[in-house]
Amino acid sequence: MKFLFKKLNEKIGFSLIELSIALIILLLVLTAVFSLFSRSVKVNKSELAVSDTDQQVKNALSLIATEVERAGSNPDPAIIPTSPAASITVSSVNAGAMTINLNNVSGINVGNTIKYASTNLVVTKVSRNSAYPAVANLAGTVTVTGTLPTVGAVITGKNYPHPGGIMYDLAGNGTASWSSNSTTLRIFGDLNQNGAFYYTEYKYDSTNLRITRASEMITGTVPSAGTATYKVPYTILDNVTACNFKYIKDSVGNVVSVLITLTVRPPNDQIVAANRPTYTYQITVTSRNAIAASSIKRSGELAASSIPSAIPSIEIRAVASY
Amino acid sequence: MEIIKKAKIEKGTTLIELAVALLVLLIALLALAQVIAASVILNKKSREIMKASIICKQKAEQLVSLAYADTTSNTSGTLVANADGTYSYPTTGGSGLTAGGTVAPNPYTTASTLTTTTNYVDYVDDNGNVVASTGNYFYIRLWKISTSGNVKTIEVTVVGKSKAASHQVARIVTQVSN
Repeated sequence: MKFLFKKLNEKIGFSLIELSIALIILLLVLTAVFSLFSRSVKVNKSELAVSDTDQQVKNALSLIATEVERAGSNPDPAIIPTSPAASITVSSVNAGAMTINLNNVSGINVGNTIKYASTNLVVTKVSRNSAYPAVANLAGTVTVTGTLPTVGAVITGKNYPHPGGIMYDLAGNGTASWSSNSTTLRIFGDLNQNGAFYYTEYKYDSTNLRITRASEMITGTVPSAGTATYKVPYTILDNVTACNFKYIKDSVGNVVSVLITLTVRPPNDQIVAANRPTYTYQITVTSRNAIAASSIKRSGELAASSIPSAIPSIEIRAVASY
Repeated sequence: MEIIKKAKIEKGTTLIELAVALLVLLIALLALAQVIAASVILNKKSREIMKASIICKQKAEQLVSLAYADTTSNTSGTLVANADGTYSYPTTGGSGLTAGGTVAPNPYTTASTLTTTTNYVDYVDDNGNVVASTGNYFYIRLWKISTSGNVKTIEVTVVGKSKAASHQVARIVTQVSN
């Protein structure tokens, strides 16, 4: 009996020591694998939060970009947006054309209608007398069909400053207030493409690290910041650690583009603080109407034949291979 | 004796069996960890592509904002601050919207060669800043301008610095007219 037991022990069994050693080795290996696994899960969670943040940045930027591209578009051709004066005096009338002060006047294009008293004047040609709008009180000739106003007549415009609809200075008179504008973006125009003027303000809130948007329909003049009864601003992007708007002038001195620089980080609760990266994005957006206003000035005149039959298309494509 | 042997056969698992089971578990866990690692890499790729498409659009917008007849603006240059607080791109030292330039091949693979043309290329870091070609850049941005009648076509492409690490290509085509 004893012999049998011994035989059994020798042939198919392991000693307790052997078993313990084997188990310890296995345990060590498993611990290593599990720690790797749990780290993977943690990193994956962080990455998901980062990826989510990316998506939010993309959405916010695309909202701002859409509105800036539309800025300055005039829903009512009978309204001439002017800055800062609210009226335009006709200085001479000759052979179907009237000469008016085109400085700070935007939105007059071939095919538009200018309303004078009760008559409608259809614009067939716009000529600016100088390639450089920086010249004060730049005169220009607007060729129209219809009953021409007399010299000295006043065409009523409305105070929608800035060709292109990007309000880079608060008062709209060229006197800049840059300290506040580098974190605030103000634009106006037919921003919703529904036939009404809208004024929209994007603001960076450095206390709460967010970007807010407020927008309202305007009918008279563009409201001064802080005094208007804005709709309640709502947050379009959270966890923004830095935000800056740079206003870019074209070669003739009009502000046509905005460079937006954003630094974001993923939400705190989704990611360990030490692992919390920040990402910086830069995007430039150009107001299509600002370009239109500028090219009239640059090329001298815009003939009907040079207007493209179709709106230039933009194709964005991201291709990836792994 | 009979009883002991029977018990051994029916109830126990040998250490070998246990080890095999643990090995299988180990392999499964490793495979799972690999899936997670792959997902992390994909997320990173996705962010890189997003950044590439943003900086691609940035260049397209900058080119669109130029005057149609502009042939001198340095479009590879960096923004210069004006006295009134606005910014401008350098209006000299470049070729503006003159027809020319090259774009990156699509698809852009390890076998591809990149032909760059001065004034039609710039180098961008991870934060979207334009840096020198010798600097620590992450993306290469190439654009091509072609003219047809009174319409200029602007094509902008972006590729990653390291072909092995970043194969993504972002591309934007837009048109301007006089």
